[in-house]
Amino acid sequence: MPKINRRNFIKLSSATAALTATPSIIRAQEASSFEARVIVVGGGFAGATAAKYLRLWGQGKIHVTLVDKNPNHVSCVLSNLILNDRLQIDDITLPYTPLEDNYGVIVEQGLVTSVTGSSVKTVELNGGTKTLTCDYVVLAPGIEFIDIPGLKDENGNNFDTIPHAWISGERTNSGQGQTQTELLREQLHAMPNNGNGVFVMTVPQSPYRCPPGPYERACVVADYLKNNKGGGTVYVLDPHADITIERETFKSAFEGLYADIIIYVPNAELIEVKASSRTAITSEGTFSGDVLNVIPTHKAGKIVETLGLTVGNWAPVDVRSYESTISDKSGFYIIGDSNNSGQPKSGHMANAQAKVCADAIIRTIASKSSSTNLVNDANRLANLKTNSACYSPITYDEASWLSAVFAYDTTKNAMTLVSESFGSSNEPHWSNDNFEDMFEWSRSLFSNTFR
Amino acid sequence: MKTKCKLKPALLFGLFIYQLSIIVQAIEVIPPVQAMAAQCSQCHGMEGNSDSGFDKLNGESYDEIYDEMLEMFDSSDNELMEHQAKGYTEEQIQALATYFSEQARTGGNDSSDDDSEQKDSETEDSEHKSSEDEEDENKEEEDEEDEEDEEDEEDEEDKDDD
Repeated sequence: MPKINRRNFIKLSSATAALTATPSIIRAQEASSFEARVIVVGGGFAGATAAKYLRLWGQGKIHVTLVDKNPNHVSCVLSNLILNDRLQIDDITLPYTPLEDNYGVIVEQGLVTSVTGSSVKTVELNGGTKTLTCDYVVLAPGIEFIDIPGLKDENGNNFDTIPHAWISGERTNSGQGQTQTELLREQLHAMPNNGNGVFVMTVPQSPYRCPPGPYERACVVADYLKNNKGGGTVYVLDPHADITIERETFKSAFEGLYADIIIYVPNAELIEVKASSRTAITSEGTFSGDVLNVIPTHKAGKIVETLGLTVGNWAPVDVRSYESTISDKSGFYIIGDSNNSGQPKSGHMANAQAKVCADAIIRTIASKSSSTNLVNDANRLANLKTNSACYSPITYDEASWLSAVFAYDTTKNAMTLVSESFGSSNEPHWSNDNFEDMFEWSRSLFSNTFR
Repeated sequence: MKTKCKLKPALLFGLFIYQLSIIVQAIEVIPPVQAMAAQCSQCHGMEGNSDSGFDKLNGESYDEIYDEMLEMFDSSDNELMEHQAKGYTEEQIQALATYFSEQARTGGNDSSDDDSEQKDSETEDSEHKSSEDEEDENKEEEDEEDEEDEEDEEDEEDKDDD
């Protein structure tokens, strides 16, 4: 069996490197002399990084509370590897305790239901069971799905039978059951063994979380069917005219490696779902399967919309700070998948944006005792970068990669892609070396975000 | 008498901390190069102190980091880091090389106070060092060989683990 770095990968959960390196002043929040209080809403890659770096860079002068509805974060990064049993859900479950122990972040479990006030903000949890006050609110709630007829009904939604598995840790049975990713795995594994099984999946409309993700999933599922179910059929129903990212890689996988399994259907806009018969009705025809995996089109996380921070589906932000550009919404920052910054919606990128945001908030606080606006410092803006790097499993032990760096453009006040930095693997499009590197990458990304 | 002796250093220490808290009062911003360098840590660890299989950057010499980044910047090889390197200007590569070469090898971010003191010297350093670059170009080949050796060792360690 090909070697896998999973053991190394799991080792990271006991890593204590960060603890020993962290000065004691920021490990605990002594109530002495805070210059500001920040509440971070949502503990995914964006929120956890923001909370950590506000403490790390804030010299113990910023009181930071991280609020998440769950006691830990289940990563979407690597989650397709749950489907073919390369990883277990515990491997991608990331606790918040290291953020408390190593950096003195206060972690509160709860759902933020409202934020009121302007210069001092009152954050309400669970409709009022608890209230917290702060000066700045960082919103990192991830995504919300846009309704599709048939997928939701008056009793809630049908995601318990038609899994999206696109918010990997979201739980079935009103939050009491298994995760979405485990549900999809269960359905995949229950497919017929005679090679006649049909797996139907839909690609969301751009921009969506993890651009290569749906195509990656199609490959992982096709590989699983090929090796375990005597083959089968995977319909990839894509509303776009063509594969949106790593085109050569996925085209080569779909038309070569998995030519007898994957049927790629472009321009297939999802119109309606018949949950009981696992049927997707699209502009290119009607498709039924043993498994129906609808990944609905996204919009900003619910709280962002509730607070009036969206224009269309996403939150407009100033990329120098990720503060809302809506006129009366100063002190609200939106990082990660919920904003409209034009950068890819990915865990790696969410981490990148969070660091820019944390730096900007510290500069905003410092600007109060300075005559200049330190956020817009020319030297800072000239060196303002974010980047994204990621790997996609294509077979059981091979993966592809994707790279992009974004730089601040003064004339557009936007983060723009540095074109030469953009690239993906070819010759070969996928390899075992990339698969190994994927675990080094995720290990480091998880560590940099949650420890 | 004995108790008095024991208390005295404690009191002095308390006074020292109290004074320290008055001196270091207002929040300080982190230098732009440190924020830029933090964009490397998704893969290379905090302050370049990698805990994955990717290269450690902290405590590497300025020349090692600069030469390798520039080589990747100029390379037409289709590799992930060769693309990432092209996201930065030569001046930024110099600043990053200076920054990471100044980070301690074993620790991560030892003290935020130290970092703020370095702030002003960092930009100067990066300008100084740029003039030395040309001299070191012939060292490149040697360095490359060393790296290959290191990689081989790492591979062996991996096998042992499995």
